Amino acid sequence: MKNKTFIMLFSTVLGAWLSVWQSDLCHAAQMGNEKRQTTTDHSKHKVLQQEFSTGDDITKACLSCHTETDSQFHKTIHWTWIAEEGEKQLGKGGDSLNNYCISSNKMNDKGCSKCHTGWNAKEGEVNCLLCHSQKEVNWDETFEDFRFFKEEGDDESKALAAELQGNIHKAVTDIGLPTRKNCGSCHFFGGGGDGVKHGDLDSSLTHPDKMLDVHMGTNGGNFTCFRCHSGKLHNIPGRIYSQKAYEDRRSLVEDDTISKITCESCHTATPHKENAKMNDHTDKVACQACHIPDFARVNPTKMSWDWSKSGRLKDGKPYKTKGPYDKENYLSIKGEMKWEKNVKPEYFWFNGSMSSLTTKDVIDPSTTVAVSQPNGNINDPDSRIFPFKIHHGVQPYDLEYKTLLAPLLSGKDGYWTTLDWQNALQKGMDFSGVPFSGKFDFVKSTFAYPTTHMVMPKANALACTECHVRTNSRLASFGELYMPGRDYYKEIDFGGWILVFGAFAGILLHGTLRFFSGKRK
Amino acid sequence: MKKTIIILLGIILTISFSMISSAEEGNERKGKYTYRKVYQSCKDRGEVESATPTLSPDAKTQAQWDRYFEEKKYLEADCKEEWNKLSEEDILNIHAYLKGHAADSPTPAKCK
Amino acid sequence: MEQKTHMNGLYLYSRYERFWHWFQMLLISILIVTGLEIHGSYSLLGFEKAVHVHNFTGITWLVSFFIFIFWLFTTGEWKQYIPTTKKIMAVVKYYLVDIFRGKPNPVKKSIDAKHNPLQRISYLSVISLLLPIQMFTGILYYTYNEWQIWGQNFLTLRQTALLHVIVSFLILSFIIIHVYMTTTGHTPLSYIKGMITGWEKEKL
Repeated sequence: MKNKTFIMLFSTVLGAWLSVWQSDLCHAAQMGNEKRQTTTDHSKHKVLQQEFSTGDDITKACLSCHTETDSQFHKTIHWTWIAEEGEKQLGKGGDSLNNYCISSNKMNDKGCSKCHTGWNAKEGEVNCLLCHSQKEVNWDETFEDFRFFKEEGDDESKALAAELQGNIHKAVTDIGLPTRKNCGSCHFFGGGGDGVKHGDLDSSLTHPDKMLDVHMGTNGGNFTCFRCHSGKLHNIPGRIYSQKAYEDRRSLVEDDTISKITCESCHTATPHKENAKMNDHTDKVACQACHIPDFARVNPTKMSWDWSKSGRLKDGKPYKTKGPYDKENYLSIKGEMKWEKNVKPEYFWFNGSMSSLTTKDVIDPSTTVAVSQPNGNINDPDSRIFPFKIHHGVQPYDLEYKTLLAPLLSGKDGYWTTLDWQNALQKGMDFSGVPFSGKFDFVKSTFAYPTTHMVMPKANALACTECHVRTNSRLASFGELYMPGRDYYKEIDFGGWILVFGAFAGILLHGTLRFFSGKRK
Repeated sequence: MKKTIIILLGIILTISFSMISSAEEGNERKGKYTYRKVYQSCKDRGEVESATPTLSPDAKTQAQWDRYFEEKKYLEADCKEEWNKLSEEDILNIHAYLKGHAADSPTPAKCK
Repeated sequence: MEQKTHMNGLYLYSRYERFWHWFQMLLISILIVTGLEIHGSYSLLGFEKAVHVHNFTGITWLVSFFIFIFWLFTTGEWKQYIPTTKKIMAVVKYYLVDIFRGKPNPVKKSIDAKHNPLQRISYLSVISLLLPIQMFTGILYYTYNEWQIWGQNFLTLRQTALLHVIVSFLILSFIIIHVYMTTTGHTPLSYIKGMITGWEKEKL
């Protein structure tokens, strides 16, 4: 069609051939990972049969075979927590901040380091088991208790020590590719709790239904995370600061060595049925925009966090209250917050990169500060309309230097213990290595998160009229874009209908006159 | 010289006292595992659905835990069969664990 | 052309012409109904279906229009649309005044002149102005995704859509008057019968 009849036959043949090939690719991708990729049974390795009393010992055993992994891993952002991009040192280990727990103070806030991939933050070895062991173990507690019972020496303690070593052994020998649970143990709990940060990533994705996520659903594709976040040498694609998560929008059909991080990687740029109008949208509308109608469909996600309300006491003590969804809506140590479920995303032009602030960036406190926002515009051919979770915050800033402030939260000097902003901010900024004038106030802020998980089955994608409609269009704010169904000129429509009804009135008049003049005769 | 003896004596007394008191208060590390095992075997038996104990240490304050064990309230809750099998020392250990991580303790804890 | 006469009628419209006319009626009705839905004026088929039907019908109409043009030129029927000012004021006067006085239409139909001067002018402007604009904007609208490759920047999408909407209102108004005018024969249904059977009776 499309006035291209002469190439129709050719494209039909080509299309059919491609779709056959593509379905082959998908089929291969749906086979079990373990069966496909594991060629060793770790319980048979002698080096893993020893008694382990520290995490570093375990890693040394891993490295005795996987010799290059630590030097490779030490270069990845999972280890460094730093994304050097131009002048800026982005990342949790760098100068980045957000409007949740604000900052890790260059990894000096021990509360945040729980999610670092080392056994003890950046000290010592990589904790391989965090991602590769299929058994979940609370390592710090287990090792501490194991050493304690081993030292105690009485029979009961010995038995407990043996039991703990048994658990360690099981975890050390049950090795595989990371599951959703492995990745989720940190990424589902970003921001300090289940579903706090991302609206499209929370513990409900550990065993999701395909209605929650058609790819990861255990009754759907049962994808693990790395199925799409497929990297090289432990570099896992997907992270976005100013650098995009992908290099280009090619698909595996065009180049089989690319990472599968975009939808196009597997689905190509024309994923719908041939000639479907939806295929004409893919140059401007991201797949996610229609195929993720809403997020946080099972667990609620945090939508706002007002730090300025923190510090209230009840009977001289910190307290917390619960609100909808049985979620805390006020904590003395954190302030006021709102949770929501089934959230409609907000839409923005997005070329794959984000602009995010650091502790060094000067802000304009008279406006709502965009701590992180998508880059893109209508004229950029790389930009698509993309869904976002916008988290609204109220967070401290330096009244004099006009920079956002990074308080220290956990630990004995942290705000959560002292409820003393002045001190917590001073400590935090000292760690961050950025001057603090000592004068602070609170500023409204927003933080944008691209929404890309929780893709629904195709039957549940948005109807056209969610956007192509005159009132309550999801894309109501995209004024510069012309959209049939949404856009019209009042004057033109008014004039048009005047003409139409004028014609009606005219013929009615003419007809009536004819009728009566005919009768008169 | 006198001072040194007094200091030494003091240290010895403190150590022995703390040992006694810790013996009295039970071993909270052991208590943690005993507590977990109560619910594990209770779950295996089928009385409760989850091996996660119903009460986490941070569910009560230290004083509330003391009263809880004084009045042997654990015998009124679930998994009575397992609780009855526990030795006095086991119970002391569990008491120590729960109290040690009570809501108003320095390290409140939740059972996983 | 041999003039067929029968009773007091004239065989004005050949089989193809009649078919084409009613086919037009069907297609254009569908286009207007679905087009207004896509425009957001109301909800009837559902947006997606409306778009689908509108596109399909539009393409079909386009094809049929070119066949009609081919027919016009091969049969010489295009001459029927050559505009003339002769008697045009008489016709205007007839529809504005004389029709109420029971006077006859000043222009007699014949096989070589099926349309009165007013019809010629209005049909010609529809065929040569409104429809081409509508076709042009329609095709542009439909091939929006190809614009970049073609380097099409003569019209923006907004302008294209705007023109398409304006012209559709004009066509709709034309149709309303056109349908009414068909009742101005010697009986209200005689012109319509003519377009069905091909035979049109003239007033005795």
